[in-house]
Amino acid sequence: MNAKFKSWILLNVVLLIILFFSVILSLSIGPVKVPFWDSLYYLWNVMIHKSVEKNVYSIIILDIRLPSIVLAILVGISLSSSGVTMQNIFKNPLIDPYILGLSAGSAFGAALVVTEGLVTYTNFILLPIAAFLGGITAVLLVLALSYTSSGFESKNMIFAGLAVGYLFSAMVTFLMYISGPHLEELIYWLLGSFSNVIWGEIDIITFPILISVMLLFILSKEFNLIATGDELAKASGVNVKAITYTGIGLSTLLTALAVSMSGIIGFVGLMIPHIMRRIVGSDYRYLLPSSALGGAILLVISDTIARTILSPSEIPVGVITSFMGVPFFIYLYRKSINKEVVV
Amino acid sequence: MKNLSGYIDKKLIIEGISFTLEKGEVLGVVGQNGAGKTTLLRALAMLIESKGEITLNGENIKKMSRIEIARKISFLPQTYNIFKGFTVLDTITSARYASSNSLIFDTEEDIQIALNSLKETGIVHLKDRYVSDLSSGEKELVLIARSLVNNADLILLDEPISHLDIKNQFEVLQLIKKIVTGQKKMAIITFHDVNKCREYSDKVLMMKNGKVYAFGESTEVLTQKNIEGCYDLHFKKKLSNAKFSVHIICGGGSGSAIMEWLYENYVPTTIGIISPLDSDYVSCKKYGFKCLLNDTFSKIPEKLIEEHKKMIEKADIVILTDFPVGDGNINNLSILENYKGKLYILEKSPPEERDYTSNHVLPKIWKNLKESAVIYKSEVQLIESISSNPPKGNVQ
Repeated sequence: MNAKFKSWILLNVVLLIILFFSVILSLSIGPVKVPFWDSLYYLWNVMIHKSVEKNVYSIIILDIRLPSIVLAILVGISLSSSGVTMQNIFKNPLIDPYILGLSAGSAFGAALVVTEGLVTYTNFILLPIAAFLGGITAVLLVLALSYTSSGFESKNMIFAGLAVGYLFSAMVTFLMYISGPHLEELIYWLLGSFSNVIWGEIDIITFPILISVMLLFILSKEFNLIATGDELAKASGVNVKAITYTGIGLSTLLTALAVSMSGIIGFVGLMIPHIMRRIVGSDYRYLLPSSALGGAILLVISDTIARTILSPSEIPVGVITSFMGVPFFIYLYRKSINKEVVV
Repeated sequence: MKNLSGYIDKKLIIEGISFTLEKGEVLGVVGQNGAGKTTLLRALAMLIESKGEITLNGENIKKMSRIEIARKISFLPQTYNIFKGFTVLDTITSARYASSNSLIFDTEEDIQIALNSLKETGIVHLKDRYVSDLSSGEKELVLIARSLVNNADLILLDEPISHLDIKNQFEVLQLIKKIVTGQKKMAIITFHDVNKCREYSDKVLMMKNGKVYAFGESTEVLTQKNIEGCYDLHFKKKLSNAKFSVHIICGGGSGSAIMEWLYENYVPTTIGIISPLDSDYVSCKKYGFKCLLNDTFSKIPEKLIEEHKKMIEKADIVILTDFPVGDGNINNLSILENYKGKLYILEKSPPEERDYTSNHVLPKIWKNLKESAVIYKSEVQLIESISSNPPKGNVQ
């Protein structure tokens, strides 16, 4: 085992510890304060003994707060994995599912089925499917708009992403306007939040998210070679087309699953991979798992802030991540204009 | 290889190319821009659609999977713009994709092989640096190190020296030659510079308009007649009784064609400061022109600059070619800034592409020089202009 691998393992252990403590902290904080040690105790019991006595604290922690924290973790993993993958495929550190308009596309797909009143608790699976179709449409539009004979240029992709994002946002607004009885439901979901989620919903998305991230991880070597240029990757034995499509498909799926559960939460896929690149470099094998953990931490903390800053009312998580992400994006973009090294 | 034709987007780019190459040999490919040199390499690496037969050590490449091809053929593209944040060692081990036994992480063997190839190319000290921070010369060496990890039999290099300064050109080509002869591999290299091709190739394939113009032993193919025919160099115009003298400031082979013509027309010529390793120096010696020499890569001494100034003042025309400029030879240009006589500039490539000075001053100096000069886009243009309107001079 080489030194780099060892220090990477150490980094991930540290990230896991941070994640664990953020979860405990997040479980304890809220309109009802639960002592830190009690949160730890209930979480421990439910994980080890699969059972816990029912009381006010245990219900608040395990049935109200824990589902939204698990959702925050899953969405964080999805969005940052999606961001890392897109950045490697298009060799562009300035893109993420939000900037590419992918989130807006997914939101439109999901909003369409909500407005049509098609989503009930029995066919809940329709929401992620519609979100995926919307997301794929957005990606294809962005790719078609930004393609030039010399490939996908960084700026073109960002502008195409913005345009497509605006288009789908406008269509979502239109849906809200005509949605009638579903308006409240739609607005609440669109603002982006982890609250009011139930275990049943989490069950639907957990498996596909973990499988997608695993598949991406297995394709690490291929993604690394694609980052060295499509032609060189092909000459090195990679089926570039198939891997690129698989990567785009899986990233879109991850984003769609995240959006269908929690609405639009921007910039996670931009900030976390950037920070992780600074620490572990661009090697996808190291970058993907660490970014997934980083994304989970960011969203658990952001969610805690969103729930507490104006307590008892809650502000959307997307607002918190945008407050952090927008200055971050401007900073990265300025740097790239000045022809400096972006990562 | 027999009767190979290559297509890009269903369009025929190269046609009916056949040649054979033995182990331990370097094949140089030359031809004008757009002759299909790069397309040939890409067809050989199976990166584009092609028709015809390609056999390597008796095996048909076309029946192999992409992974098998990657184990047998290494392809080095002309430009190497890797996404940021990859270390040199990462990129070398990643090239083990076709032969590695591990699905995700590198095995001890992968790393050892990568380190060995870094040692062989002499860049093991760069292993933890980010590739995006390296110079063009270092990047080229990384690409070469990368091509060794699968122990491929055939290495294809697309203009490996076109972005390098003279010192790196020498080092890279020496290294390739050493690897090919030492390990009994084969290499096919496309060249922009015919002189470099002559120096380092055993066999030469000359291409014109997507077809073979000439193929064979280097010395047989690279004759003046073939070069003129292949590159459409029809500047055979004769001067009657030239009465002027010329001074050429050149390097990297950029002045050789003009020198040859001046020699044939008995024009007294001097050559500005060049290095003894330069292919222009070889031409200069061949034609017996007087020239000023300075050791490669060392700063030009003050005394030599004075001598150069005198040489320039004596000549009736000064021709400046578009050679790569670094800190060592930037003086060759700045010396012209106060020159009042006739200045002809041969500009086939923009200054930005061959600026190796540490503070990137070439484009600015070049622009200033162009203001008081006549600009030519090719040797043919320049020679035609001189022969149709010979400058007046005092040469008897």
